Amino acid sequence: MSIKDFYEDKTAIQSRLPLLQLIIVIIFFFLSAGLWKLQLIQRDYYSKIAERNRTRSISWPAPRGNILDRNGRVLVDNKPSFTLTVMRDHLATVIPSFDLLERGLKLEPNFLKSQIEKQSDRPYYLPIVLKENIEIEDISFVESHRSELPSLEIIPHPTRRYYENQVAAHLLGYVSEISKKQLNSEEFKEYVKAGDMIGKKGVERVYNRILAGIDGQKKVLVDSRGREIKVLEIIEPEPGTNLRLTIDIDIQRAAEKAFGNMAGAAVALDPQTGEVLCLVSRPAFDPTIFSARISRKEWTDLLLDPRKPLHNRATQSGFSPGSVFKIFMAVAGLQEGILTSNSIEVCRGSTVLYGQRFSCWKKEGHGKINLHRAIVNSCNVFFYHLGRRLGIEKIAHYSKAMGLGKRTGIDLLDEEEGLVPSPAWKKRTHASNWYPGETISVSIGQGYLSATPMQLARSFGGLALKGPTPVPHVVLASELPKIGRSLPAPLKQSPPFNPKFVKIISRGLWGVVNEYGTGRRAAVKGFDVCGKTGTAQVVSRETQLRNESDKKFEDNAWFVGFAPRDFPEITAAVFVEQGGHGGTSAAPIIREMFQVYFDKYKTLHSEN
Amino acid sequence: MLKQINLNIKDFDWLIFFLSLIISLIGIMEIYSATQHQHSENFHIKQLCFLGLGLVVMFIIANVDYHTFTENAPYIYLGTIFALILVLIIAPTVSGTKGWIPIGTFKIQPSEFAKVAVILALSRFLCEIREKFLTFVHIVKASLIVSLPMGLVLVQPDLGSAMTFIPPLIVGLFLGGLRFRWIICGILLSSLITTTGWYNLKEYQKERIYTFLEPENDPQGWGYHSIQSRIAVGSGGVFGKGVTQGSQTTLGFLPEPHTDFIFSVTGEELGFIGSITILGLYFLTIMRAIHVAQTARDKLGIYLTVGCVSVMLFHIFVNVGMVLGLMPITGIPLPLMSYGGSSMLSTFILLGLIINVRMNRFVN
Repeated sequence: MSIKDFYEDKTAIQSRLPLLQLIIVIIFFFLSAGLWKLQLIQRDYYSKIAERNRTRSISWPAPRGNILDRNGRVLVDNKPSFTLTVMRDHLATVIPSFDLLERGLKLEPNFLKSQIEKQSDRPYYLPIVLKENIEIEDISFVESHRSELPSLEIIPHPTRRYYENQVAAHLLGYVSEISKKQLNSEEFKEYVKAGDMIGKKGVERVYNRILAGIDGQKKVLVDSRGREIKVLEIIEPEPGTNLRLTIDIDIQRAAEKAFGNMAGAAVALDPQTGEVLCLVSRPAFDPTIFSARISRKEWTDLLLDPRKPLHNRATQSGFSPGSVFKIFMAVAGLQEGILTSNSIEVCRGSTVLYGQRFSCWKKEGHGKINLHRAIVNSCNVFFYHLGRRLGIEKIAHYSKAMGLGKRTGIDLLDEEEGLVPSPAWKKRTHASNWYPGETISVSIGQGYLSATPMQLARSFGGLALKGPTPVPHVVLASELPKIGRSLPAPLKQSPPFNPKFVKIISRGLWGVVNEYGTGRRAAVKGFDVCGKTGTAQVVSRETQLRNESDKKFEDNAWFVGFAPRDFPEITAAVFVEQGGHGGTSAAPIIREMFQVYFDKYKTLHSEN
Repeated sequence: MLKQINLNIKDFDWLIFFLSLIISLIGIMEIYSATQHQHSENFHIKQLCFLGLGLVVMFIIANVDYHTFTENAPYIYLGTIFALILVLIIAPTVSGTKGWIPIGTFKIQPSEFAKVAVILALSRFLCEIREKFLTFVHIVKASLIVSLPMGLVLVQPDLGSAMTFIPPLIVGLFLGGLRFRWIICGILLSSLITTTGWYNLKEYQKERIYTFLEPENDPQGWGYHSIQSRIAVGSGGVFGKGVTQGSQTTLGFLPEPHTDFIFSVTGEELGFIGSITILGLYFLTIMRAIHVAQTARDKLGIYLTVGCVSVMLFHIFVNVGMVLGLMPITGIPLPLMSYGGSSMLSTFILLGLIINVRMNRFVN
């Protein structure tokens, strides 16, 4: 090898070395830039994530307040239960063990996977619920397999327990996870967060804020497997306040039982205070099924059930009052001076007015009949004539004065207003004139009239008291200060009822029950039960609007009354859907309710 | 003999020695931190032993004229092939790949040493070419030398390690002189290989590429490592959280903290200042090696040195890139810092060869 060979050989290669040097510099520059970006520019971002990685804020749910009846008996409380969850960050470590988990917890295959999919759109920081209400065996399984399933968490999660099954379901409501829409609504947005359980209907919802309390929080240091290393901070939860209702569970139960399989509503009030003693709507549902995450099928079944079990017929539906409305007519007639206790009509089974024939339910007619007997026997013709003489404007006026056609103001949601028709109303909504024949229909509680059982019960109460009726409410007034509320002002009557007229009517109502009138089956021995039966021909206004076709419906049955006659302590309204005659279906339910009241409160008094 | 030893000590490249020592010691410190909860395993002690052994090996390799190695290159090469075949036969399958042959309590990873053999064989082949530019035949032969062991490693399967065979080949060919047309061919060929290779990639390997591009799409699976690594490094900030104080490391958020992700631990605990310093140390080492190449006595020396550099640089680039989220997740160790006897030893062998070339740079 000559020196010249060497020299040439190496030069060629050596000339290529600087390019390599350049590449090396570029590579290191690239890596340094990467470091710069992460550690200098994005430092805060990553610090925050690092912090979040290793600290966990576990919500410590506040126990929800219990709901009690007026005597302090527990209607709703919380059952301690546990939920199996996993944090989203750790899903990867748990998914491989799903088969094991499903076997151990006796779950359907792929159940856990569907759980994850169902919750995929919940906020990232919320744990995923794998199974709720886990049993002791489940807990021991998970604990004994901790090494294979390290990132599972067992969280105490009290579930709502409704002792009465379906009794007072609509009144109490139920509890379930807050929906996305509700999170942003005025009603909730100030104090709830995603994942909270809130009341969805009834008292649970109206008084949710008080019942819910304030959740606490535990901030812990965790390792990459979600195991708690250290507790960093604890904020204790503030338990919800117990709520005492005005309901008497004994009366409630008696009414629910008396309904059996029938559909309808029953309402009982203390007319002097407005306290609601019972509120029934049938058919009902079991609120407990909502406590666990209800399956879509169960929910749709309930929604689509043609009997509408979720609907509160006591306050959310208006119905034709039928013959019960005759009392309102009587009040109007007496107050206007058109009617006196001596007024007589002749009932021949029907009458012709404005070219139409209007029938009485008794084909042979009642013959000569006065106001008292017209009430006791519920004669239609008597009131047809009264209606013609009063005119729709006056009828509407007195109806409204007694509380129909507007909400009672009860502390439950979505109360129905009902309807008191008038020429002005008809012009506004139907763009047509009022026909005199329509007044005649209204006179016996048919036509466009619509009232809720709650409205009727309250109106009768007001009548009996001869004065302003308090606003019905389901929570005891004594509870209200602790929740920062007060009772609204009572409805004023104008003009106030003349005691003489009230006496006439009360006597009539007493006769309905106790003088072998249509409501005799409502009688309670030793208790002056008074009331009016009703048999309404057309079903609720909703059905009217829903069904154009002329289906044959069984009449709806009503009984609205109070006891005792002279100083009433309880008024009630019972409505039985398609119950036929008021005296047959509705009156006995009233009797059950009043009997319980009598046994409980009156016998005690008489003993003292 | 004595005269030779004197020469050796004076001419020994103490710069490379100290650079590699410092980097290794920092690595041991971070391994200690990363395995805090597994101290019974004594990873840091073992690594210290590997360091000691590595320094000795480096010293020995440096003092035997490199021509001796290249003269025996064929035997070394065949021995490596044999070892790689042995791996395929008797190695236990761990996480779906065969890579280690257990010997006593230690594990040997032949693929690490195969790189040395390939560099030796390739360098010897290339240095004997007289032409100014490589011919097609040269390129094919060079590729074959590399492909055989690379293929054996690919079959294990260990895609990451197999990839490390490519830089010495490319760099070697580049130094040998590539005509423009061959460069174009090379680019086309590699595109072809990449696309067909893509279809042949195992699912998990494809997943790694996907999650590299968008780790947020799979935060619980493959993206997890990438994300956690960046969180650790990023949260280290300028000064780091302090040795053994890295929260992401100690709480177990970093996967493989003492091996593949050792640089994440470093980033978290030593911060930007520490990380840049270490990068600087690596940079110095590499540039020093290039300088050795520039002053090498013969073409063989240049090829050897640059081959070693390319392997080390590739490791550093891919590993640190992965830690920083700039590259897909691969199982390539960081030289001198990742825990692992085979990696340490093979790195010191490479360094030893580089020192060797330097020590023999004068024509006698």
